[in-house]
Amino acid sequence: MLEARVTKVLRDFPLDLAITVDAGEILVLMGENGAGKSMTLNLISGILPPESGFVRLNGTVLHDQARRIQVPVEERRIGYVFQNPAVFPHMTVGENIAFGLRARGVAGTAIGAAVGHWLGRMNLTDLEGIRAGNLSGGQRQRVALARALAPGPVLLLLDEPFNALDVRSIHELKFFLKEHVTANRIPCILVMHRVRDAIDVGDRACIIDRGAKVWEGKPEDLPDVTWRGGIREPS
Amino acid sequence: MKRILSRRTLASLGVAILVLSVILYLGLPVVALFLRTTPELFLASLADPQVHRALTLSLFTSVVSLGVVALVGTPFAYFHSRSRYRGKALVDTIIDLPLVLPPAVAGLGLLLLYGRTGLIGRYLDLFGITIAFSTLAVVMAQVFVASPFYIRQAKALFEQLDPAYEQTARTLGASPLRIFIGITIPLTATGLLSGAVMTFARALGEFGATIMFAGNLPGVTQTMPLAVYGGLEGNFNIGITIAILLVILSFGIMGAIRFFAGREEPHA
Repeated sequence: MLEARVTKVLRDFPLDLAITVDAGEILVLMGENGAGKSMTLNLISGILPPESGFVRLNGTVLHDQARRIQVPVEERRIGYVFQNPAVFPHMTVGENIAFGLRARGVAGTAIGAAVGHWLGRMNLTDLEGIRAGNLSGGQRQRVALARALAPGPVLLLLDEPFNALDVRSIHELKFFLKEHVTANRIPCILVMHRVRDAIDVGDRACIIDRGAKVWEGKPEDLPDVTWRGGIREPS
Repeated sequence: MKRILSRRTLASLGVAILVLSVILYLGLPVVALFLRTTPELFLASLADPQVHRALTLSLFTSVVSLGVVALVGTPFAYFHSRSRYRGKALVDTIIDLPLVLPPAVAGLGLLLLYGRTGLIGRYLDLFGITIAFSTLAVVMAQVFVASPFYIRQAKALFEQLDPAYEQTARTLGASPLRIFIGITIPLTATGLLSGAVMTFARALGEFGATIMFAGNLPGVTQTMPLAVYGGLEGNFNIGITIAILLVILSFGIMGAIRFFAGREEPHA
């Protein structure tokens, strides 16, 4: 379970959010561009330090400003896919997926097995030896997702992970993600824009506007026009 | 119609004269070097021990200088680009200083610091260590004048690199050193190599600081540019031969720079 309260004064507004995500739950963060969604993920992951607040994951304090606790990002075991999938272009697809496992000191044979599993799971088997810099946008996003999931993260932060994917891949990945998160009881925060996707994959949705929560509820109850830039597509 | 055509012709002629003037101004001095010798004389001078010594010393000192600049400059540029601290603008100015400082002034400064009676040199002299007028002085002069070419390039590359790559690697559990070696360096490698080639070229062509701080001792401090200068007073053919070698090396360096520039993929 993730419990967080993070604040940070941004250029245009102060961000102040309290977020709770249960084990195996997917919280969909929505809101117009620049509302503070990506910043929220950066603060929870520890990539940027919050000015005040705390981040607790499964009872462990990752950040507590009052107690001056700040667990380094690399020790938090977070699976984070950024808006820019940032696949390492000089490495092959297989090496990208293995990166997190190697960094965490997993044994070679176990790495091979895990890479094989995730290549298959993300339909990337044929691309294992291809340099990631030569992949299409959709393939890069699948590699980024596989790379984030392979080390077995205890928290998933996904910033618009379906952006460059085709409709069929989005459909497949949405349901795979839901199943994986539920089965492994991982708290997951998903930033996305399409209400249709939020309803399909999310257990709960939250709309952020200028750094503050303005709506929270079940994705299917998302208001029609709640914020500028929100997209409700016909079901 | 006729008038328009003649205007166009005049404009084309003007552009052609401009282009030709620039090409001739920059190219003719190089052509003059080749016209001053014959292939036989050039090949005969190539076998001269003085040419060998100057070539070997120049290549050796330039490679060592490049190694020093890359080894110290890469981590320095990385930390500098990633940190915010008071006086950063001053540090930036100091890094760039050798670009605008006349090399002779740089050489004089080095001499006043590391010379036998210099601020530091006088203490080194107590231990029998003499830097000025040695091969080490050549390297130090080259490092001083050539380092900004590499450090500026490296700093810009690290600043432009999309932070998502390093941040992703951090979330995957990689240590800062692993990220630097495994992600940051490979993603900026082409640009770093381009900066390294520029640095090597500057070190190879270094003259003013070297002659002030290291002197012009054949086999010890007489690099190729210094040997060209020495040729004016001694064997002129040797000077021409070394100058032509430097031109050939310069063309090779330009080719390398163009090659790396063409391959550059900014991951910004």
